[in-house]
Amino acid sequence: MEFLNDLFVNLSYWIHGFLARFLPLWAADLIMMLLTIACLIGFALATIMFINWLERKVMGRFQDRYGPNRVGPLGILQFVADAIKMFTKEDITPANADRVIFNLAPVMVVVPTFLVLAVLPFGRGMVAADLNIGFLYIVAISSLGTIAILLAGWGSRNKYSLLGGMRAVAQMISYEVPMVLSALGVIMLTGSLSMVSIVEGQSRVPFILLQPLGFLIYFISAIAEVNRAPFDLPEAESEIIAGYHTEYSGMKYAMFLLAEYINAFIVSAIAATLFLGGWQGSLLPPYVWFLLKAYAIYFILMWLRGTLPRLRIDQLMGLAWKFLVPLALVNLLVMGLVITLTQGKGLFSLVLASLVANGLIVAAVVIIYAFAIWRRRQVKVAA
Amino acid sequence: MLGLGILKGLSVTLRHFVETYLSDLKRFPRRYAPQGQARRLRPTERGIFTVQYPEERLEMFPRFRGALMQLTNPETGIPKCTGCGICARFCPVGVIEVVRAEEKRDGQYLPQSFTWDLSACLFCGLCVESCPFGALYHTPEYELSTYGRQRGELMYDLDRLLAWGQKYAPDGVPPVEKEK
Repeated sequence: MEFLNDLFVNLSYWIHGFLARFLPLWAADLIMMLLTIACLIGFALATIMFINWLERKVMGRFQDRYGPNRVGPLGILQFVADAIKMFTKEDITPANADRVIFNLAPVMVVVPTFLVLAVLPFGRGMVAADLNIGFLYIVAISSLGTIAILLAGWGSRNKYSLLGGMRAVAQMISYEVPMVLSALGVIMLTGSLSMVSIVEGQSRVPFILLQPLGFLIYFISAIAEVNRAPFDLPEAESEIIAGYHTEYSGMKYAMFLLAEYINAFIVSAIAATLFLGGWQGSLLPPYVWFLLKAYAIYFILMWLRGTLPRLRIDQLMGLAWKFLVPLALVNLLVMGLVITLTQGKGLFSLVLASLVANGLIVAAVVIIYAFAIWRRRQVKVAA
Repeated sequence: MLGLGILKGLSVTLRHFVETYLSDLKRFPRRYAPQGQARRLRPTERGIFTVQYPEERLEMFPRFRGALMQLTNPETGIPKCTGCGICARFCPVGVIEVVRAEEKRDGQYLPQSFTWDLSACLFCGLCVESCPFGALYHTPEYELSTYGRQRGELMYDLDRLLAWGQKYAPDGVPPVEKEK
């Protein structure tokens, strides 16, 4: 059991020790870093293949279909067929496109997604770089993807692409605010931005029990942040064809697809780390727990995609600025108050006070909405 | 409120998700419908809607306008067609060619040759409607693709159409007429 728990950590120690026997220490360290990077990229690619298959299967089931079931058993080799198709497709650059930007964007959109993987704790001690500003790093790096999407939209010299790019920027900037504000509650609880200490802070109770509202706000804004349904306005096919990747084909299009899927997985993984306790759990090895939690959240993402219709652009902005941002601010203030008041009073009182506070916030929101509806009716009657 | 609507929608999709697996369980060891004969789900039924085509086929309804067939009179054993050529005249694209035979048999004219060119047929059914002798009908046959049109595979002569007639209306009454 212990052996399985620390399998990968021990493996890395063993390889490092093996290399250090006939290489100088700095060379062994360098090789270990490169190996870690290779592992992360390999993990990302494997995840994309699996997620692509899983998503199509699950979406099929939601819509009373089978999903891919022809290539290989249960259609598991579908991604091979898709990859061959993508590789052999003609790579078109529009005549009037800004060639440099057009070709740069697909690369730029993938790089930040791989960078974010570096600070995710996959298990006990299984983190490529335990930055003490981990969450800040994630926020900073993941906003780089926005620039790439705007570049793609601008470089294509296509009205639909530009519209999609602009929408993506507006949406991502708007939703970054509530996302960070809701995650701040978690950071207040642990007192650290490091992803590893955030997970370790949840050894007794996962933060979703302390901040259900924060989790909800984070989850909604995270879906919008990675442009997934129901917030997939930047690529709304019924309005703007394929949005910012309208003009892309072949491998470049595959890069956008890749970034999209891995982003969705990373967002689920971050949600699992911040609110569900990351790799914490009993019986199973930590990395299995981490993947289970991340995929559970990813299932909810797919579930929402299979259920909800796309929002209008004004509804999207309204949800962010009129609802999520004020709610996140109130949540932040109340959580700060709760944490200060229950300091040194034990875990139970903290959980109880947090739940009561969250309930009060929800009740306040419901009352305000009810009042607003009542007011609207009164005004109508008067008119 | 919006939140309740979302929860309701989520429960609906989850029910569909689970029910597809339940319907899979019902025919568990098999993956396809028996004899490849799929049945379209009724609105009240739950489960997977997909017909897995090459393995499963839907049964066509009697009025389906598939390939043409020539009926045979079951009493005399000769074709009902008299080679009058009305179907050929009605055909908007001219894919039917009829030549009437010189001599009668059992007091009835017969076609010497009857060709139907599938490559241009638009399955409008005017030939079937116009036939005064009830000799020409549609079959439920819809898998009519071939690998080459140069070899005349798309030209259907009398024998092939009569063979289909024997197959789909052995008693001289096509499925459409039985439905009425």
